[in-house]
Amino acid sequence: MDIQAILTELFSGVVYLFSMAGVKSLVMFIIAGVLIYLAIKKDYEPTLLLPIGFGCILANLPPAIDALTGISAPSALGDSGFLSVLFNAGIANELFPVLIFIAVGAMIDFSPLLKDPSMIFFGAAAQFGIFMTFLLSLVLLPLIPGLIAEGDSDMVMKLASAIGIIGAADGPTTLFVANHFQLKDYMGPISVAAYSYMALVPVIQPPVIKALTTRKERMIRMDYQEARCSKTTLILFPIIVTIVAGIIVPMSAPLVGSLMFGNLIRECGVLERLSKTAQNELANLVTIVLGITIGGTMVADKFLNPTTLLILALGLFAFVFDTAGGVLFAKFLNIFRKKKVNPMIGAAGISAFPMSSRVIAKMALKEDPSNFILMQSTSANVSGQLGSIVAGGMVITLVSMLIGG
Amino acid sequence: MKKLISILLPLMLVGTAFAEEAAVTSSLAGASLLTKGLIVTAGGLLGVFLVLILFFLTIKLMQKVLK
Repeated sequence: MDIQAILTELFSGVVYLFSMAGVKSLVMFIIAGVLIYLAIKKDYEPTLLLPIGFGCILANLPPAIDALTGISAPSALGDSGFLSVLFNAGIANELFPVLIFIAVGAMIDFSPLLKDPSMIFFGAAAQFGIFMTFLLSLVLLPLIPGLIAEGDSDMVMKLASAIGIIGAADGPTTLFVANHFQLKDYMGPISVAAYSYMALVPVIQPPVIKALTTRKERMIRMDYQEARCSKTTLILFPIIVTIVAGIIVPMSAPLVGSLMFGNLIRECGVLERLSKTAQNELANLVTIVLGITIGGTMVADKFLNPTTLLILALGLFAFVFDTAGGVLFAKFLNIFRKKKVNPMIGAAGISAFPMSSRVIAKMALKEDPSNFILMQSTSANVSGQLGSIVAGGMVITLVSMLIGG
Repeated sequence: MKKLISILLPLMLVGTAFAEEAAVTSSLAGASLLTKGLIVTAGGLLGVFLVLILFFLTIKLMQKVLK
């Protein structure tokens, strides 16, 4: 081997950066930099965007050739690379989304919803955007040249489902659906869209709400009944919900079950140590590995294409229409109700908990400093958590039936 | 609200059952993407409302029983 070959081998990473693939990697480093910047400087979902950004850097480093297998891939992504191991251990088998839901369940207090259960319907109405986006994706995806082999309508249905679910504003459910349909190549853009838009709820929701409501409507006051919620109710609720959801939409059982299991740990009163562990250590640990593993799916070849832009655009569409669906449903209900509902509450029916409820409560206070609707918006928001999981289960069930898979 | 639910619930039960039944029939295997999409949209939205209505009724029932 001559000196030039040895040097080329030694500095293969530097040589790589000057190749076409290297330029793509540099673009991915910039995208990773933006995610890390948004996380640190703008405080947008830092717990997720920072690990995703760093995982993206790891996934786009120059490839190393595995001496045993001869496969060339970034060392973190090779067959035994730690990102591949994490992907197979936690995302390919749906473990991480389920663990995240146990943690989320342990954080959620359902008592505002149990005191005013009528708010639960907003959790259903705010899933409207999911299905509208699903339909729109079915129309747009086949138009992208080379994306899906001609006639592969099953793939279009699967990808459209995962894109629609971005509107659930619920990262784990989005991952669950994408993974169920084995969309590993699209996992990167789908999860980046889901988590980025979740962080952008304070930016996305207010203009949509303002466009659909008058100031008078935004100032509607709502009574809040300070009714007591018995401990038995709080304990029975997660158990019964799991059974009902498991019977009606069996596909949603892993997510509903884990969410409600976490909530039962919280409410039972005898597992305080486990409840705190689920809320803190479990949530933090899984978030770290989930984020970096998602980032690891953002490989330049699969990420830098028109599909990513389309997924990001459709994800935004889903978010906007979910918000609009909730607001319009509230306005529709007001036609029949004597006691009017503040239509902004409908927008809190998305799953971004607790951010959406806080945004809505803040908007109400801005219009009228003495109008407190935080508890009502929280009720709608926790309903959105349930609604998005059920919507995910419904989409998986119906699409699987129609494609026969 | 009760009136609305009493109207919507049976409709949704029928609708969801219809969507499921329709989906399994082989005639839909060759249906266009848009037809399949509309079935998923209608069935999905009905299903979400149905399940959440059941949650609502469950909460109401619990409140009554535990009063």
